[in-house]
Amino acid sequence: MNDLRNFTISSTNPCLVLFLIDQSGSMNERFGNASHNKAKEVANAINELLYEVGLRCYSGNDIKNRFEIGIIGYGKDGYVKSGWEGALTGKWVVSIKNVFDYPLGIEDDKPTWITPAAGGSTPMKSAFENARKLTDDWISWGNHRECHPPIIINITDGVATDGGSNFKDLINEVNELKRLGTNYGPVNILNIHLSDRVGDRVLFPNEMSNSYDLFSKLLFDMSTTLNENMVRLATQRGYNIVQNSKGYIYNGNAVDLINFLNIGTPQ
Amino acid sequence: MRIKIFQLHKRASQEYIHIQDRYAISSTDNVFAIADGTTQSFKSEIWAKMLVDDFVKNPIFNINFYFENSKKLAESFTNLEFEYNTNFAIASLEKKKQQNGGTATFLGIKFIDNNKFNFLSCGDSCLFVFEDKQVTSYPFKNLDELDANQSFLNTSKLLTEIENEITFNTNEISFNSKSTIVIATDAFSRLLFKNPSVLNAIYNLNDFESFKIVIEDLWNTNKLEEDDISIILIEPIEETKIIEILPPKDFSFPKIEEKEFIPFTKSSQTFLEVENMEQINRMLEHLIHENKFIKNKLKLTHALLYSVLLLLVLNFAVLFYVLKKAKVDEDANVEKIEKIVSKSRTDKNK
Repeated sequence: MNDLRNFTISSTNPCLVLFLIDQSGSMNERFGNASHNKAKEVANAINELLYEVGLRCYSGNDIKNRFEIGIIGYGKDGYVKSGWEGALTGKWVVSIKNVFDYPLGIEDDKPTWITPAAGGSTPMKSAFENARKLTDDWISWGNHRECHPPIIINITDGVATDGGSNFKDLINEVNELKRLGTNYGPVNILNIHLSDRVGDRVLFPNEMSNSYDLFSKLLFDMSTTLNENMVRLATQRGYNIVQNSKGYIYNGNAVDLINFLNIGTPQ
Repeated sequence: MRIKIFQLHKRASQEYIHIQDRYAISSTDNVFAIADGTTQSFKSEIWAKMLVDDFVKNPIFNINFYFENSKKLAESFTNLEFEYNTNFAIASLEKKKQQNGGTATFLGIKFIDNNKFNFLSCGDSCLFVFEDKQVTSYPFKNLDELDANQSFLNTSKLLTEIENEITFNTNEISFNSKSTIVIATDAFSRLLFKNPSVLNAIYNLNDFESFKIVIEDLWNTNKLEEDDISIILIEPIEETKIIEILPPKDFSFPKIEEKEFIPFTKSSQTFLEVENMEQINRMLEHLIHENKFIKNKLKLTHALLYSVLLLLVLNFAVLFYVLKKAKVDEDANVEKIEKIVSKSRTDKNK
C-alpha cells in the first residue's frame, strides 16, 4: 500500500467523489429547525460541496480535473438513477471541469447543479449496489489504481426500504463496497444523516451515544474510519478530529471533508 | 560565489510560464529569494514575483519592518486589475478566490560576510546548510516541523491581521568556506529532509535535460511530490559564476490526455437495466392508460350502437303498426264503400 502522505490529488491522479442522494418521499419533511425541507438541504449540501471542490481545482485561470463527480439519486419515483440534471442528465461521472462548464442555475451569486427532489420509497441498498459497480469500474479505468481512494457520500434521512431483514442486505452491500480500493487504500464511505429532530450537528464522531436511534447507529457503522492522512491534515488545519473518527455526520454537511484532503498546495 | 539555480514546473502545468514558484537574485549584493505561490490561491505567481523582486532590491530582516513592507506590497497586489472568466460559474470562483487573496511562502537570504548570512522566511520554503557530512536546516529542524507549518503570506490576511498572527522566522547563520547553502521550495525540501544525499544527484548537474531526468525519476517513483521545483545552490567561493538550469522556451510536458470515464459493459448493463425497467414501467403505464381510454371509447361506441339499433327496432315497430293500422282502416273503408255501393244498388233497383 502506498503512503498517502506523499500523494497529492491532481489532474493526473484525480479522485472520485460519488454522492448517493436520498430522494424518497420523506425528504419532503422539514429539516430540523430550518424553514426548508430535507430535499432542499441535500441540494444545498451538494451544490455547496461542488462549489468548494471547484475552488480547490481552480488554478492558473483554469479548472483542473482533480476530481470526478458522480451523483446517484435513489427513491424518486422508486428508482435508482443518475442525479445530474440539465445538460448533464444521464451522465454517471462528470469531471469537475465539465461540472463548471454546465451549471444548472445561479443562487446567491453561486452556481447550482442540483434541484430538490422527493417522492417514492428508499432503495438505499440498490443505490449502494450501483455505487459499488460504478466505483469498481472507475478504479479499473486508466491509472485510477494510482489515485486517491474514491470517496462515497451517502446523504439520507432514514430507513432503507430494500435493506432486507435487520438491514442485512444493505450491510452486506456496503461491506462489498468497503472491499474496493486503490493502491493508496480502501474507499472512504461517509454517511450524512439528515433529521427532522432538532439537535446539535455531529461531525466525524468516534462513537455513538445511546440517545441516537437504531438507524443513526447503522449509518455510523456503515461509515468507514477516516484514514490516517485525513486525520493528520484535519488536525493540522485546526479540526478536533481524533484517531478512529468515522465518516458519519449528523445534521451537517461534508464541506469540511475537503479540508482533510491534500489538494495542490493548501492555501 | 558559485550559484546554481534549478527550476522545473509540475507536469500538469505543461509549460514553464505556468510555474507558480518565483526566484530573484542580486549577485552584486549577494541577496537571494524564493517564493512559492500556492496552487489554490488567486494569481499567486504574481504575488510570489512581487515578494522576491522587492526583497532583492530591499532586503529586510527585521520582522516588524518586513511585515509593514509586505502590507504595502499586498495593497499594490489588491489594486491590480484582473479580468473575470465569461463563464459565470468560473467567474464566481475567481471572485471568491480574489476575496481570499494571493498566497505564497517566502524565504530570503543576504550574505553579510564570508562566513555569515541573514535569513528571513515565512511558510514552508526551507534553507539547508551542508557542511562536510552534516546538514543543518532552517527554520524547520525536521519533516514533522515542516508539515506542521501553518504560516504563509496571504494578501488579504496581511491587510486585516496583526503582525503576531503571521509567523516569520529570522536568524543569522554561520557557515564555513566548504559549506553548500541550499534554499528550496517545499516539495524538494521534504525530499532533502527524508534523504539529504539526494543533493549529490543534483549538485553536479549542468544542463536542463539531466535535471529533468532526475526530477521525473523522483516523481515517477513517488519519492518527490509532483509540484513546482525550485532550488538555489550557493557555494561561497571567490569566483562568481551563475548557472541557471531552467526549461528552454520550446520545452513543454506532453498534454495529459483526459479520457472521459465511461462505466464498463457490466455496470452499464446494470444501469441500463434500471433505466430500461424505468422505461418499461413507463410504457406499461402508458399502455394501461391507453387501454383504459380505448375501453371507455368502446363502451361509448357500444352504447351508441345499441341506441341506434333500438331506435331502428322502434322505427320498424312503429312502421309495422302504422302500416297494419292503415291496412285495417283500408279494409274497413273498402267494406264501408262496398256496403254503400251495395245499398245504393238495392235502392236503385227498388
